[in-house]
Amino acid sequence: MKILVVDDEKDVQFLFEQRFRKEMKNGEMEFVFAFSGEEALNYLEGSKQEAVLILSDINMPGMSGLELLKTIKDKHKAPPPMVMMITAYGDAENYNSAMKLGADDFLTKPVDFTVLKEKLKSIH
Amino acid sequence: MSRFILFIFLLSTQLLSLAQTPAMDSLKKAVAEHPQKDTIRVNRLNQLGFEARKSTSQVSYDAYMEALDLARKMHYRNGEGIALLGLGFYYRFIGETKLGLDYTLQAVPVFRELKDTLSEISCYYNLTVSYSRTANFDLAMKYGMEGVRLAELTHDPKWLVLSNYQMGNLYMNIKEDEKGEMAFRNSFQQAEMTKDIDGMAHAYGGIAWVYERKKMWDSAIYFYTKQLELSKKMNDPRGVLQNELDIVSIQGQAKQYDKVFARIYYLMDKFEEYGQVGYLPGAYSTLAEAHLNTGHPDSTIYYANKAVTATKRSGRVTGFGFLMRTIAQAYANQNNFEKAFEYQQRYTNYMDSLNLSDALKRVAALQYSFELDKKESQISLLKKNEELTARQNRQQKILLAGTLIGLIVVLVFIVILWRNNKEKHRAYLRLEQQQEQLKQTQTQLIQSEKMASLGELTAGIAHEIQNPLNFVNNFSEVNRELLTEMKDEIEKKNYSEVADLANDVIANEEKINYHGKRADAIVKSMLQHSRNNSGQKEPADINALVDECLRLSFHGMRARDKSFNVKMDTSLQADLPKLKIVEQDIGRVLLNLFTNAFYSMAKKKQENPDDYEPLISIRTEKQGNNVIISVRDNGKGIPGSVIEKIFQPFFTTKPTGEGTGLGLSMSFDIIQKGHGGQLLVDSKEGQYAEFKIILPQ
Repeated sequence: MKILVVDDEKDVQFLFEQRFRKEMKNGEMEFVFAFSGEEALNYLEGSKQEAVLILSDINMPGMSGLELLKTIKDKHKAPPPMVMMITAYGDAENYNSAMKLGADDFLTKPVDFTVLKEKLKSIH
Repeated sequence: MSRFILFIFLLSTQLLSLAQTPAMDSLKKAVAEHPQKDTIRVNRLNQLGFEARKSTSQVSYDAYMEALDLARKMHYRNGEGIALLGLGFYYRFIGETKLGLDYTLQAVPVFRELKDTLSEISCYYNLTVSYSRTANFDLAMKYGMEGVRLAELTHDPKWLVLSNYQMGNLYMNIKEDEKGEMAFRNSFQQAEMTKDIDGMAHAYGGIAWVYERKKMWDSAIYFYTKQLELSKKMNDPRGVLQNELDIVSIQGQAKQYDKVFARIYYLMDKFEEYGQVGYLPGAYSTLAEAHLNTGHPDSTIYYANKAVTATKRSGRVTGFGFLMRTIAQAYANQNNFEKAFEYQQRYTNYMDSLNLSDALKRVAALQYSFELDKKESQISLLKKNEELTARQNRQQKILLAGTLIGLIVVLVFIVILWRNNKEKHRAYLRLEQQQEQLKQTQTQLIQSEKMASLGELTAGIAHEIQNPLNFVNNFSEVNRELLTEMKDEIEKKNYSEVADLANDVIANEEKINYHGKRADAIVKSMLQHSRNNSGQKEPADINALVDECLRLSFHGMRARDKSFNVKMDTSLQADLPKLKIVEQDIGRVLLNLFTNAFYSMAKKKQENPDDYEPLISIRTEKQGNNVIISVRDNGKGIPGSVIEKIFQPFFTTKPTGEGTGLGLSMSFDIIQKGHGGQLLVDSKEGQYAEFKIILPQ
């Protein structure tokens, strides 16, 4: 399973590599990282929807996570990848707009990696 | 009224009507018709007494006496004075000079008390005449001069004429002929000026007397004749009689006896007829002398003795000795030498005593007038001194007044100045107080502006701290897992795996450390931002500061407006030199500019949700000795009408409560005053706004 992680914090990549060390080792999960919404879209267009799950931050300079979500859900019709939104602002407004745009899940920071792992595994 | 009566009375003192006048009849009737003992009766009696003076002495006397008696009983002072003076004149007139003096002297204090000056002058006139006649020249001089003085004081023309005339008579009596002539001529001038014929007539008589004294008979007769003409013109029969007697007397002295004899008997008859005995001694004396020189000793003795009797009765003394000698000569002519010797003896004795007393009296009068002259000169000197002193006093007063006014003006000025000064001082104190308050307010405002911007940033800061903390937590959790694994691998003695794990742990630790420091830095910068005191200038990395501020303001903005997003175009020149700045101040400026830019773009986005993409471009670059930080947003821009005002304190386009209006003015001060730089603005309304910070190296 290929997962695209979108976050402007670059250390997120390092953290995910640590957290999912075992899963990555045994080839259970594969992670791709993008550091902005634009970069994520570029990747998605180039890799022809290789990623089945997208984990995206909402608050990012430039294209926000919500915009990215909207674009993915609009453009990648058949079938669109799962998009889970992760944000520091777990308020109703953010949640509602994310859900409206077709987000598959909504997580708030700090991310509980145990929960996240279970979710990813259940999808798998 | 009383003055008027007296005036007329005096004018007519020498008048003698030959018959009872109609006026007298009506006055008699008026008195009879008013028997009540009151002031009206007194006044009527006095009028009758005055009127009767002209003809019937007894009627005059009775009227005056009753008036006096009545007035005294009633304490009617005015009536009393008039009656007294009337009696004074009456007695002098009938030759009872001493009684006349007595009454007149009583009248003086009455008029003085009533302040009736003209009547007082009238009294002095009568006194002067009477004293002259009794050879009391010093007293005559005293009252005469007092009369002249009062006449001059009241400027009464009639009395000036009469008083001067009497002084002339007086001077003649004390043989001061020159002074006498001068007085007579003065009197004449005064009289001529006011066409006072009576006065002129008297003055002519006086001048004639002067010529008589000089034994210039023709001139004397000439002036007496002039006087006679005026007396006739005035229908004054009594004056005519007197003048004729005077002329006859001169003719006698000029030895023109035929002329004397031709007229004198007629005159004497008339005097006898009207009871005017005062003139009889002169007439008898003249006749006696004429008889002596024409060889009629009997007649001489007869008339001389009549003259002596009449003279004694009148109290007069002048001519007394002369008569003794005339009688002596007449007896000698009769060869009655015994009688002649007797009268010659009496003549000698009399002349001796007369000469002596006369001389003494003359001396007394002369001394009096001399003393008076001296006094007058002293008085005039004193007056001059007084005038001089008065003038000096006036000048001093003027000077004093001027000085006083000046002083008052100066005082007023001082008071005004003092008040102004006080007012100014008060205003200054108020101003100082207000300035102090203003300073405090300013400080408070600056502080509140800082706090406001801090508040805006709080969410951003929280977010900024949250991220590194998440990393810290996550990496430490990961490390725990790794270390647990490492323990297992150590037991398995799989050391290459252990080494890998250790490397990971170290790498994670570095991350933990890095993010811990990041959080630390954020907290520090936040503290720095809220700190009040202006910091020291220290070398700082402009790019790092710009980055940090941009993040803070962006997250701050996002915290308030979750849907807001913006494209950031940052172009930071990598090799910028470190600048010596107060980091927190420049940071505040940057935060302010970024926040404004976000605010402007958010507003525009609200208005155009679909076809507007916010874009903020931040650029740092070195230009010469300056470092330029430009912040450009594609928001609403700044209208041309307010672009001039944006750096003014309290100017804001934000709705009330949203902005303090101090942000840009503080920024301007920080850049320009604090760092010697420039803060420039460029904008096109609806398109963009670009701020440029130019900081010198």
